[in-house]
Amino acid sequence: MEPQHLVQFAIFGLNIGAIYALIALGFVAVFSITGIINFAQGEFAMLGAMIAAWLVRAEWPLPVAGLVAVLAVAAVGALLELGVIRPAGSASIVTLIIITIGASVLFKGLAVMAWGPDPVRLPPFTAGPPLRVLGARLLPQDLWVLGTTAVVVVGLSLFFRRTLQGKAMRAVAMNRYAARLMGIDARRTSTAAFALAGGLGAIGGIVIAPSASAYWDMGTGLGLKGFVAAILGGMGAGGAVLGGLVLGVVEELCAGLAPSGFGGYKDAVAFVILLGMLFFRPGGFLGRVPGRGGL
Amino acid sequence: MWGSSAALRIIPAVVLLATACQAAPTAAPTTAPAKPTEAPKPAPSPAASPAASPSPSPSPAAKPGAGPAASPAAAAPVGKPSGEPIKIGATLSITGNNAPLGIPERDTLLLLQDQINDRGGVAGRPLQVVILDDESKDDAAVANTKRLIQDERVLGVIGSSGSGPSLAMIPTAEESQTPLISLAAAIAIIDPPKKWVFKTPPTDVLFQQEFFDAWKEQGIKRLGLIHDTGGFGVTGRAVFEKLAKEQGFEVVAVESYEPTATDLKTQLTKIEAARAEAILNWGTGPGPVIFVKNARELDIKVPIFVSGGSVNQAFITNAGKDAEGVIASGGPPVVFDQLPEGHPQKAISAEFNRAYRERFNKDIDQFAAHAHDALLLFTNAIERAGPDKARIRDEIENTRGFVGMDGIFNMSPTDHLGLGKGAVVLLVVKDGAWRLLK
Repeated sequence: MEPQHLVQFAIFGLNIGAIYALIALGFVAVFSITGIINFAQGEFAMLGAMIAAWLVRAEWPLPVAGLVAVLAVAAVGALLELGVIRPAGSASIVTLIIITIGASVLFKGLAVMAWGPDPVRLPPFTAGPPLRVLGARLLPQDLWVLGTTAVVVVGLSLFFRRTLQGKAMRAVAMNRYAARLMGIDARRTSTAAFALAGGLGAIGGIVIAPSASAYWDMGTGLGLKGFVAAILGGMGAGGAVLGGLVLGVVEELCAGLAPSGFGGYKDAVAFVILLGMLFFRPGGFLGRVPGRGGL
Repeated sequence: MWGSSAALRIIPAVVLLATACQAAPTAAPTTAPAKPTEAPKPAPSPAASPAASPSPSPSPAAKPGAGPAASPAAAAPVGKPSGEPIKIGATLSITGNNAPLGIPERDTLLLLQDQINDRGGVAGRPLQVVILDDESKDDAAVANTKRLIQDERVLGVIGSSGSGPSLAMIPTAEESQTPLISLAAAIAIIDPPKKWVFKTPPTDVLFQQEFFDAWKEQGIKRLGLIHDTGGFGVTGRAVFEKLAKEQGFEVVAVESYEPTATDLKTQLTKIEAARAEAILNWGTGPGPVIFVKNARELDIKVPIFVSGGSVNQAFITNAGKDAEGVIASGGPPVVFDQLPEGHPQKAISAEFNRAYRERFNKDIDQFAAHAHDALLLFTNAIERAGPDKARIRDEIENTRGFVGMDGIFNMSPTDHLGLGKGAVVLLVVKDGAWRLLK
């Protein structure tokens, strides 16, 4: 193993970690506002990728297809909240979480019915040979993944800190009751959180689809990893981004440096990290109060 | 309790032919001769759609004998099958990772069932194939097998599509003394031989030996393997390492990935760093497509190979131009139109493809061939043995010189596959299609 391979694995890790981060942010948004772990989060990524790939195959220009897919999945997220979560509003959190598991199964089933069991192709956003960075290859699509994630994270942070709607969401996340006393419509905020989670998941799914393939079951693995990343980050927004990147890099380094054949245990690596974190630092590595989210 | 959960996962494809057969003879002869080519087709969409829960029930109009009429069997006057139906069960992976295998297998069984009944059934009785979906899951395949044997009282079971579920089904078949014909590749299914278990696809040993022969010819010595951690991938790895050792190749890297993996670039980088001269992928589901895309993204120059599980049009559609030049080993039915005249699998494949294309609006693939041969092995055995599971098993084992789509089967007590080296050919993707590699 030579040094440039370490750089190479780190690049792959940051790349997949950026996707985990986007999905983790979706978990955090919903959890902070509603207390629900939304197990359909991975399926948001799948739906985004499938819709975009399907529109591109129908010869829509990629930027339009991507935008439509993100908006469509955000709408799916909002509808999930409006149509299922809100009517069951008085149910316990556990019940609501189980509802999201049901939604995840439903989305997968609908995807197989609509698009079939085979992967759907989404071409790379820009063609071109890999760039060379410190002897490692950096693919044009990697730049898209990292760039998109950076833009989303910065945009999200501005949204939460500079806009009224964003501040309202943070207020509800901090103290729902007090926020309502201040005249914030907490129910609308819940819908917005699910829509945001849908949009974030869709972006993650779309940017990873060119190298990973879009198919009906792609959300299962991504959702689990995003969940681990969110837990690592203590269910806070900043922590989730860090958690995603760390998880991605650790996974790829383990697969890359471990003896031959260890790549088949990437999931195991993720869950060992998760268990260790829950045992020794339940608030995530930023040390939040366990069980409280934050935006 | 398992009854209710099984009911959820089961896609019942129980097709009762008794009623359909009564309607067919009166309507068909008057219209068919006038416009033989315009026989109304059933809508192809329900069959093509994987989630089609209710199986396309064969409408009488769809089977006026126009498809199989070319075959000598149908030309001869045949009696209408009557009496209790002969029941064969099948558990196929119609959804889940192996759906690209299970769907053509289901379609084939439905079509062949109708063709057999049009030709007079099995030993004068109507054939009924009971098809269940196991979602590519081992536990569901076992539950389906039990249900087929205990509730449906089938004479034999076909399935499953994948190696993992097939291996899981073996104890159930052995304990209940029910003949089982698997549609999966792993050699572990029939080696060591099990009394009640047979299979139709060439083994992974046959599939991989074609590659080793080609590598020997091209002077390639250093090999890299990347396999998934499913049943097919893991047994394929064992075969690969054994064959490589026996035949003097150097395995420089063996990497693995979970079937849910979305990215194989790290593993491929390691294989490339080990300076492999050829890279073989052994896995099912979307893995092989990701493998090919990642290898092209990383600009890996050495030739890349995929298993027969990828030999279908979906692989090419999904990998796009990245698929060009990828080499696979597969059965002759995939390229039946490119086989030389007189090849034993050419005529039978071409004839079945005509009816298949007419009904499902797509061409046969090797999975169709596996299912086709499995059902015929059963019905041929039942013709000779009658409806008795032990005698059916004996007759399957006694099969000699049966010309199927997968090859010519010569079973024996020690060989429950009965196919030789000619059952596998090398294929390459060229101009968006699988071609015979000369």
